[in-house]
Amino acid sequence: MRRIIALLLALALPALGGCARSIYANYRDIESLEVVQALGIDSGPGGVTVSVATGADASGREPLRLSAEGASLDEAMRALSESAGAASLFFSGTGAVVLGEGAAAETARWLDAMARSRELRLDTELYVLRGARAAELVAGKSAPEDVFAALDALAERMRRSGAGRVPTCADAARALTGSGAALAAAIELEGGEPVPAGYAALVPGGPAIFLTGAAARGTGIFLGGPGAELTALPGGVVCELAGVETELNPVWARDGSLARLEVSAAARAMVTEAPVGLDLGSAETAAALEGELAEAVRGWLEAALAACAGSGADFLGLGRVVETRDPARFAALGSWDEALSGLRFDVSCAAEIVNIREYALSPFGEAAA
Amino acid sequence: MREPTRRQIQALSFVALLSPATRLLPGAAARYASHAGWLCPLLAAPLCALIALPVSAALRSKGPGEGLGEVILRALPRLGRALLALYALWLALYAGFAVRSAASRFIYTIYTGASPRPFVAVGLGVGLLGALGGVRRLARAAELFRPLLILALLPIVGVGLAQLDWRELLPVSPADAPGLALGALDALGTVGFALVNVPLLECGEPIERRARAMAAWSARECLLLGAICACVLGRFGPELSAALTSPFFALVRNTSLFGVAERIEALVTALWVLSDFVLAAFSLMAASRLARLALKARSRPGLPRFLQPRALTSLAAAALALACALAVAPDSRTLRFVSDCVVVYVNLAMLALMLAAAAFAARKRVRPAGSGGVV
Repeated sequence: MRRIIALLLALALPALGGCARSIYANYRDIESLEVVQALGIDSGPGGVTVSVATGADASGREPLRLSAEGASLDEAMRALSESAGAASLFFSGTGAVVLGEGAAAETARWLDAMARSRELRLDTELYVLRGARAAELVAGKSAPEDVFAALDALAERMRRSGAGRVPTCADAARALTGSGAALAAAIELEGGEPVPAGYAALVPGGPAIFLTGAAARGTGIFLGGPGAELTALPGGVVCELAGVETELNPVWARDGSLARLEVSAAARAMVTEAPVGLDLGSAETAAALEGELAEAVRGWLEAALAACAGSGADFLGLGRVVETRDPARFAALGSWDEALSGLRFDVSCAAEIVNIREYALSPFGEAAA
Repeated sequence: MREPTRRQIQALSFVALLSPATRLLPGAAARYASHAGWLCPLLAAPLCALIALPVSAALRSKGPGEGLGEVILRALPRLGRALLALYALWLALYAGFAVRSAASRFIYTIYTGASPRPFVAVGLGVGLLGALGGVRRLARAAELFRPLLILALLPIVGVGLAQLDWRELLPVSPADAPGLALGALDALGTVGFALVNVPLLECGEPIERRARAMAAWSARECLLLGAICACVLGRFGPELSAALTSPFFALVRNTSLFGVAERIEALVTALWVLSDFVLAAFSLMAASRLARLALKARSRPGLPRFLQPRALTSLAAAALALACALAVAPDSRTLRFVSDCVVVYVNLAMLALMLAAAAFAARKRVRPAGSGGVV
């Protein structure tokens, strides 16, 4: 009996190989596989336009760029697969999702489709292309040769030396279901190449709110800290940020309403450039620099908070912080959106120059004089 | 040393626990306790230790080759038979439900749109083979499977903890207490299933300091389950986690190993089959054993193996399981309802019944007359 079972199992092995004609129904020939790296989504009156860009592979095949329309995301993806000819599009390797500005108004729809999708994944970086359709970046005539490489480099720059990290679709889905608003990295096209444009706040059923300049920098701080971003202070000194930590403290009124939100920040920075002749080692100069830096960071935070409260969309997740600090009072607040709109912020910031590159007093001072 | 040993019993418990725990707990914890859901398994740990106490005390009076069923039957000769028959029925039905849930996972992760029937048939077929093979073989298999499953689980939990948003794990407030209690009850039922049912087949050498060993084991499992819940909640947030069909496998789908492996869900789904197999084989084996005890069916020399009570009761249990698997849920929505709202509470009720019987047997301490357990 055992031998018969062993023989039957051995005979069944060829069917379990995962290759063609096995029981594995999703088999696809790796030779004809085109791995989608960047996927663009645009919406319009005709439905959804999905654009894809594959990467160049070792065999020298040219990257594939395609666009197709459909009534839904899945239908457009199928239409794409059909238009790919002999190539078999593999969506599971998608590394970046780009929403056109129009499509960003329907973020909840796309994230919902991705959460349900058997091919797309939520741990994919999410971008919103400002002022253009995603198809232009992903599959347009002047699109970069390797779209994903361009976006990947951009994300790395944003994380290392820009406003902050690029949120993923999972981050956006979590924020959207939890706080009712989410963040994505905003990009723009410059000569066909993507460049950072701050952040886009995504609200269900509304257009994206673009956060640039000081508001983007402040948002990056709330998102987990900016990269080693350069900041020119009024006195001509240039600092590189080494980190900003924030603490939020809700202050409650006697009637149970939220009187204000105290936001305190501690910034650390390193001096990278200074006017020759300026003695960075003196206590007065250091205090002045730290004051200027603190003022700059305070401005960024205030800009981000003002954008958040002004739009009524809690893309900074302030409600979560207040809820964490005092769940019972938060629950008694009723509508957080209403509370947010009228919320007063009290922002304070301290800064510390933790390092001065090379020397405190430039040896070129005398030469310049 | 006569097998299964303590190590094998713990391996069997771990492997059988993994599939239902990962299916049920992250979603249930998020639904009941929101951000505080990761605490549910941790809160269940002391209760699990309490479960281990009466079971371990009852097993002190077991004879060679006996399990918990024999001990209960000796202490409660009449009522015990009815209880064991009822429990055998429950375990056979549970085997069907477990196999149907495993089929659903395959459909969810890889074979989208496929019928569950082939998976159910293969799962029960293999489970039946395992059930016919004997406790020691199943325990040894579980001992081999455990490191494989841990190897698959560690990177998921490691990457999950590294990528989670810790802010999603708070707040925890007194208002969460009812939700935490419900979530802890789910975790208790899941871990308790192993703590109460595996002793039914614990016919090896008595385990030294059993209560302490099993309490420590359940504390480790609860810690692991708490970490899994934290990973899921930290990645998707409580709202999305509660809505997803299988939040743990959604986490697996969205886990990349730093450029080493972009997609690991097929591998993990494949490895989870080991847990499904052990759970199905174990449930059928325990159902068959309890049915024989309830029916006082002993092996008869001279009869061919396939006509022995053990084979017949195993076949009957598998047939019941098959009927249950085919009838329990025509679609994934019904399966989810059955899983979350029926099986959880029936399981808890059956565990309570068994625990009461074990506690009574522990108090009565009826030693065996000299004969061994059922063969």
